[in-house]
Amino acid sequence: MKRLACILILAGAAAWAAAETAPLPADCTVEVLVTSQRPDARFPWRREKPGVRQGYGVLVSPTRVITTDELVRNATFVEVRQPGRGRKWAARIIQADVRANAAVLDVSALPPDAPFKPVTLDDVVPRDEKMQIVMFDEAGQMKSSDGRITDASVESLPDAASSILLFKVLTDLKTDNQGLPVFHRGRLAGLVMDYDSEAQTSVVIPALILRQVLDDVANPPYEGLASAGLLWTTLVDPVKRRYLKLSNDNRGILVTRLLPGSGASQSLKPGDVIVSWDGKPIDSQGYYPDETYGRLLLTHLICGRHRPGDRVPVAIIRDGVAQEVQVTLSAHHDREALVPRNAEDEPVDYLLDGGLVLRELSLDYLRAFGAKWMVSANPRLVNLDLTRALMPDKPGQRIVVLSAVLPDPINIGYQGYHDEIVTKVNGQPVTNLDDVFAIVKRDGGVRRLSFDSTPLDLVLNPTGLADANHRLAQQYRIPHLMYHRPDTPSPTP
Amino acid sequence: MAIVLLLFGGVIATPVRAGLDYVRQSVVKIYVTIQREDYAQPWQAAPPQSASGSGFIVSGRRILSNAHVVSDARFIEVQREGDPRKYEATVLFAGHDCDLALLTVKDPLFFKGTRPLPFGRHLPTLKDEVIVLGYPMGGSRLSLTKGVVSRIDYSLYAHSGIDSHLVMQVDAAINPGNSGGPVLFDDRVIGLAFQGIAGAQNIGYAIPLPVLNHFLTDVADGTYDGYPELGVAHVDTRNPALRADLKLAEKQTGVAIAYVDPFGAAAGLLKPRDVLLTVDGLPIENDGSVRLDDTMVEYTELMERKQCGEKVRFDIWRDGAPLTLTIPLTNRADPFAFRYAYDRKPEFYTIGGLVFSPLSRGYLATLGGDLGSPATQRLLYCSQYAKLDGMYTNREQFVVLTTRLAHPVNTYCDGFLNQIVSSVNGMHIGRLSDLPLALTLATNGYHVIRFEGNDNPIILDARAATASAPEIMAQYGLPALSSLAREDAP
Repeated sequence: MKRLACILILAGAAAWAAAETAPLPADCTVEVLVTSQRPDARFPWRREKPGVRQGYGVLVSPTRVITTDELVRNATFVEVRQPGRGRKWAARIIQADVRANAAVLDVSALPPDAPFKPVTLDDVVPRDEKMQIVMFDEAGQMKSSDGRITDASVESLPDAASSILLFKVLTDLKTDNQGLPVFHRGRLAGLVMDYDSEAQTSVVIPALILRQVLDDVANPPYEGLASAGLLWTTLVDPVKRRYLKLSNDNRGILVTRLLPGSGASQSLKPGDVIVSWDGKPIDSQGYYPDETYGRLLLTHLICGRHRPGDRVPVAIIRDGVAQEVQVTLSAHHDREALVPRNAEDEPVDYLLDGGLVLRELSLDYLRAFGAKWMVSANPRLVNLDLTRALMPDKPGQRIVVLSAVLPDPINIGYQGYHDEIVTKVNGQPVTNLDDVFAIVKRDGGVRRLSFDSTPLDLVLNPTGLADANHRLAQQYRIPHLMYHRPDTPSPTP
Repeated sequence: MAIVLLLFGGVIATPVRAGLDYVRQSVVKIYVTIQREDYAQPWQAAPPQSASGSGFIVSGRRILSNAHVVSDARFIEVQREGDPRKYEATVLFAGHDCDLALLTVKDPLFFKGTRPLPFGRHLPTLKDEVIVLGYPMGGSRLSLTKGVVSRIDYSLYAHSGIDSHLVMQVDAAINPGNSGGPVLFDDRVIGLAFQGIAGAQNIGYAIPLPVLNHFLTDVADGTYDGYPELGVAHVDTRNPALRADLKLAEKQTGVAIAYVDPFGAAAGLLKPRDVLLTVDGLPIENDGSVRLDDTMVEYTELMERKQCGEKVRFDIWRDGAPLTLTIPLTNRADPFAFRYAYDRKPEFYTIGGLVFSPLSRGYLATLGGDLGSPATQRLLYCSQYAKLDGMYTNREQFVVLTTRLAHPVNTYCDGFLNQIVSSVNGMHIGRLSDLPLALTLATNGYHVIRFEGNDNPIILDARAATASAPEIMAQYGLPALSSLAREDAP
């Protein structure tokens, strides 16, 4: 009995001490309830079974909530409420950014008397500073615990090709809900995106990344995190350094590839050695000394501190001569890739004519072939993704694929075709599905497909086509025989 | 579906009585010591292993068995039922594309009192009862099982990994060790047991009579040429719109050529969009079948019955006009077929502890579960699409960095494994034997090794790389730095 009392007192003391060191911002956290539905990556007119997700978000202005992209991905309906309470209000996604794993919600449906108070962001949280991680019990009561950043490093996000600065925060709270806030001195220091139960650490998206997203949303059009558009490799090998006539000072990385159309492609060349970026020395593994977080990858200098369009000074060694160039940072648009990732799992464009399913090659399509997609998907398509995904020959080039043929009398003899790369439609070269839509609109349908693998075309009979399409839509229960997304998804402020 | 070869590597005991005495005398047990190549460490072979199979005596003091029973064999012995002696045997011919081999025994005593098994004149039909003889696991003496012919169809021959020929499926028990044993109908050989399906029951596969005859006819001139390869892929012409596009009249039937293999017999003769109307005078249906001996078979069956050097005649329809083509059948060496290789030392070349090998099916097999990574995916792609995607034009082989024997000279060369070499010191690498010459072209004392699809090269200090050789050989037990099929002196 005495023992128990003693424990209770200690627990109470800890909570009290935490509250005293940093008053926690009350009423800034909302519970976010998401109904989501992924499109079927193989049969794009289908959608998978709707699911429900629950997480949190933080009010950053009276009408804006920031949360994680992962939480609201493929949302069909989003609601917010006071944690654990009954009353819900509809919310709208203004912007979701897979590269920052952040999303901004419009919550103007909240009544003026709703019990919420926005919080401000804290961009710089030093490594050893105490932070407060919170979570909510079923009754909506906030529990908090102190935590410290044990690791701040540039890490790749599970769903994006890019990497961003992420904190790992050691905590005794099992914070496995997306979007739980982390506070520092009463301000928002970041959002929880993951929890590693073995290491007892929360993975946190830092406020400085969230800030980029919020600022971007406030100044449309939305561009996303900045990107340099360059691929590089380390220069640790002393033999390689001697071969490149570099001194043995452990400085510099080698530029291997520049993405077409990127800002860096205008001022850098493959073979350049980058020795400093934006005033920071770059070591032979691509790290720079960050004032706050120590040794960080160059990536953070690109996307953590600058916006697309900014110009940064870059010191390089080109052909043995040291010089300085200005690199304009650019925005990275997934659709500019030869093989887009479509990590957002957005509905993809498709055209179904005479049972022929035409679409563009994307990573989510290949991944739909299962965990071993690199072996089980079409080797030629996988190889295109692995070797040339970011390297179109010309802007706008993507891979048009005849992904499947839905059997119908009109396509008899063609029913074994699948995953063929289409080079021409009705005799006219196509570089993406937009071209296909234009040709089909002009000609009234697909008459002829040409492939890169054989001079033998696939020819359709125009007379029976309308009937066949009607029949196919009925038989296979396809609500729309095509989907063509708007040209530029206009970001609404 | 995992097809398993019925070679038995294990221990044995118990007899079965066969009624036909001379048959019992002529079905032999084959004992082999096999040593496979080690494609992961090509300078040495895999550990030797013992295995056993079956075979039967055919005319000319020869024993017919499976190629997979005697491939990579270091020592072969044969034994007759009821004779305690084992006789050393040697391989006369091995046909890896049809998994058949002919052996002989020097000692004339072995054949004394034996009679070659007679061959049947035609295949049995479905439901006909057949007998399988051989020396499967579970005993040491001759075993006999009975069953019916369940299916006769084209199927993959697992031994080469890529060839398909006629296969006879029987429901008689066929087990490891049965490989090479005869399948009899009316006391005559109509097949040779050779493979099964892992996990399936009552499914055994035999090489049917036509394939046995094809092999024996082929070797009659003293060399084995193998099956001719026409080398075309077709699509059927059932679609009216396609028929109109190919200007086919309503009554014309045939298949349209989609692809012509540059290493096939049809290369340069047939073209994509050609329509094959007849083969040796027999009309080809729109789905590719022809009526032969009152059964419908695929038109390629006619080529299956021919030997290299024979001809096949096609009536074709090209650009709306008829044409008759006579194509001499060949079987050209095709380095991009990626068959399993046997009885051949794998090639390799080592510089600075980096081991390079040509891409081969044997090497891909060593990767096993690692095949699903970006570097190995490219190997898989190249092995399947080398010809289709035109990668064969400037090379004979894909040269792969397979192993790094860690040594200070290559400390920073990790991360390049399983990548395909594109050039060395600026010289294009189209086969492994290009490496010795390319490595004489070091500039300023450095070797620059570039890989396909990788902008980051390996740089080696040329002098240090050469100097490291004795140390690396001693450290890793390499008897030699290279083994090349063709030594072109630099």
